[in-house]
Amino acid sequence: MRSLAHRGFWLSIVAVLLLTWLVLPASVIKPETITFPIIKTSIQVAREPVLGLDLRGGSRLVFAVDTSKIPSDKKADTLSVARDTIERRVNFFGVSEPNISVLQRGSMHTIAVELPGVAKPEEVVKRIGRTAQLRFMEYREQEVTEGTQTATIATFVDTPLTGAYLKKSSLVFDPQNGKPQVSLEFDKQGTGMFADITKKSVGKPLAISLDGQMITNPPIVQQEITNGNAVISGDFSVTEAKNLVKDLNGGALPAPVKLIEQNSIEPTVGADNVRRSLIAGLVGIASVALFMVLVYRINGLYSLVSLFLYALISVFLYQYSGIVLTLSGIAGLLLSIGMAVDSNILIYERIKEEEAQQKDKKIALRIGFEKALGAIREANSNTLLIAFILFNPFNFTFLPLFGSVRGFAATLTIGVLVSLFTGVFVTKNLLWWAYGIGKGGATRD
Amino acid sequence: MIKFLRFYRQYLLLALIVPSIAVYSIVHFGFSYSVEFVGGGSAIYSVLENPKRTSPKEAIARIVDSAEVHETNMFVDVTAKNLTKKIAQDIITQVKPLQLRLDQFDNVGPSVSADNIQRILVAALCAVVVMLVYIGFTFRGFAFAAAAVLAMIHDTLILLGSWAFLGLWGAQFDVLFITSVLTVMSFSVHDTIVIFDKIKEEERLGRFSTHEDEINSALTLTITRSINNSLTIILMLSALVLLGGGSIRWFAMSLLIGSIVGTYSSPFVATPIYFLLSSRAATKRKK
Repeated sequence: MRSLAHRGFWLSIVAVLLLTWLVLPASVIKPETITFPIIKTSIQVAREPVLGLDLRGGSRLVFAVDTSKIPSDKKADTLSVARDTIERRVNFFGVSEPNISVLQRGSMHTIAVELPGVAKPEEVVKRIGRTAQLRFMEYREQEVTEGTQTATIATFVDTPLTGAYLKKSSLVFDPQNGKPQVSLEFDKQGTGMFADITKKSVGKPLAISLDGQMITNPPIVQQEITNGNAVISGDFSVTEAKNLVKDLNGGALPAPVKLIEQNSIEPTVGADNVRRSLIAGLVGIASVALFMVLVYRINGLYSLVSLFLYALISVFLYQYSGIVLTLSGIAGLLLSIGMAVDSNILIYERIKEEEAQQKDKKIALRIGFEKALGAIREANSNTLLIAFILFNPFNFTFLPLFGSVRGFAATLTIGVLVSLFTGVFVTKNLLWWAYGIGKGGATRD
Repeated sequence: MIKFLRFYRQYLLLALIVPSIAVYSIVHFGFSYSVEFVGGGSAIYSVLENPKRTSPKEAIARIVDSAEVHETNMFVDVTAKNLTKKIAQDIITQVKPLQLRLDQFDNVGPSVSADNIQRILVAALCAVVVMLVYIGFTFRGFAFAAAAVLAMIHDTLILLGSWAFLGLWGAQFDVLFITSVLTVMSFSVHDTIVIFDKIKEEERLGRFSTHEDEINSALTLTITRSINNSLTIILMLSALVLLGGGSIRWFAMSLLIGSIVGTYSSPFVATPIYFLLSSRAATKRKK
């Protein structure tokens, strides 16, 4: 019996040391990854928790997609094309790990764009909002008669040729004056259309518009163009021309989008949030620890061990599970530390109560512990049930599907489960060991 | 043993008065909803000229309440609840010598739709029903379940009421606050269950001649635990309120109010209600 108990003791020491080692950042005594030579796999052993936008800084933009003109069977396609187009446009900005997701909000289709590290998203907003519909318009003269007067009005009318037939667009420079130009190369179908249009328009202007605005003064078509290449030479600056090329290559949005929500947090504010939460957390933990020792003396010291393990396991889970840690998540984590000692307090109070009645300290300890278990079980199952409803794992449509509510429910669940382990299991073993109670309650002395 | 229940009528009266004040506060002050709920306007300006490197923040704060302003050398970005296009244009004349050009104005729709608010209410209702069933089942008594849930409603109302009042100092009704209301709901019941578990035990042991004394004994034995547990939570949350950054402060504040009320309500609201609801059955049992 004794050797078994000893083995358990040493195993837990090893487990705690291993956890501590895994949680620590990479340093001289700890590499980033460990490679196993025989099975040729490597494991990353130093990880950072995934921080949410409010902690690392960045912007969250939500666009509503106007799908009113799109037949209902095409809506899903339209949304995924819009998503991909937006992703391409965002990628031009070199944002690392943008997160773009299609969300249904009531009857409204929205696309949420998360841009870590981008605190000033104005430029991105402008670029994403552009539908980038490139159109070519023919010149047409219309005779308008009013009374006896007849006048000729020049108008431009849409042709079937649009940006959809574009194969590639690039930035070139006019060999004569070095001004930036935008070259267009049409695909096979577009080449045919372009040839048709230019043939009809020789000697007349041809208008090119982007999102309903003329890009440049309509150039006069000199001759039919059959090779499918064209150059737009406007009064561009290099940056303007570059942006136009990017928009054209990025493709057109299949439906207009509108910004409905914008939320930005500066990276410095994010870092400040992390720093302040850390300080608040440390001060909080220290005062809880002090409180426990002052009130429960030696037993309070044992609860510090389970509190330390609780913090260690939580940090480990956040680093290795990939759960996104947000400000409300940190608050939930700290709150659950405050609640984690609840099990300890319940147990100690129950033990005190039994001590008042029973003479033997060990029997009081054992009975108090058993009795506290019932209350702990019922109270915590209730919290878990509520966390379950908030997390909504089956995606019931009548329950909320908010990221932040969900994140909080996840934190709460982890908090309750880990605190049950440390507060009940670890505390029990510590007390049993400290007071020399063997397995099954037999005293050991 | 402390005779807690001697004043149970007074506790019950207080448990009616305080939530009534809370309801009055909600009706009278209303909530200061965040942009997430009511929507608003968002304006993006280009900076044309900024000779004195002035920040537009103060000037904007004079025109629009609780505006969120982001600025760089090239752009200024303003989001606020009551920002209209006209106000957005007025800002330009107010921030001189800084010269701005309004590039884009959007009416930002509420991101938390009525649908979602409805869903949160449904979730809260589901939670209440689940708790009623769960407590009713594990404690084998409807009186326990009803008392725990009524105390929870009491706590929720007080939290909502104080939030409406604190709105005068800038407490906003946002998604974080909803999260904290849900937490307080679960905390309130968590705390109550511990006391009820003890009452149940005393009822089983039958050490006392009256039901009142059984409850008194249970309360006396659990009160230290209740206070100590709440103190650890209050210590943690106070650290967050005093030292935490930005939005976490208000979040911690709402949790702090909730945990204080939740601790108070278990012995002084839930237990008297249980006593009231179960007294007839208990007298029958005692005979």
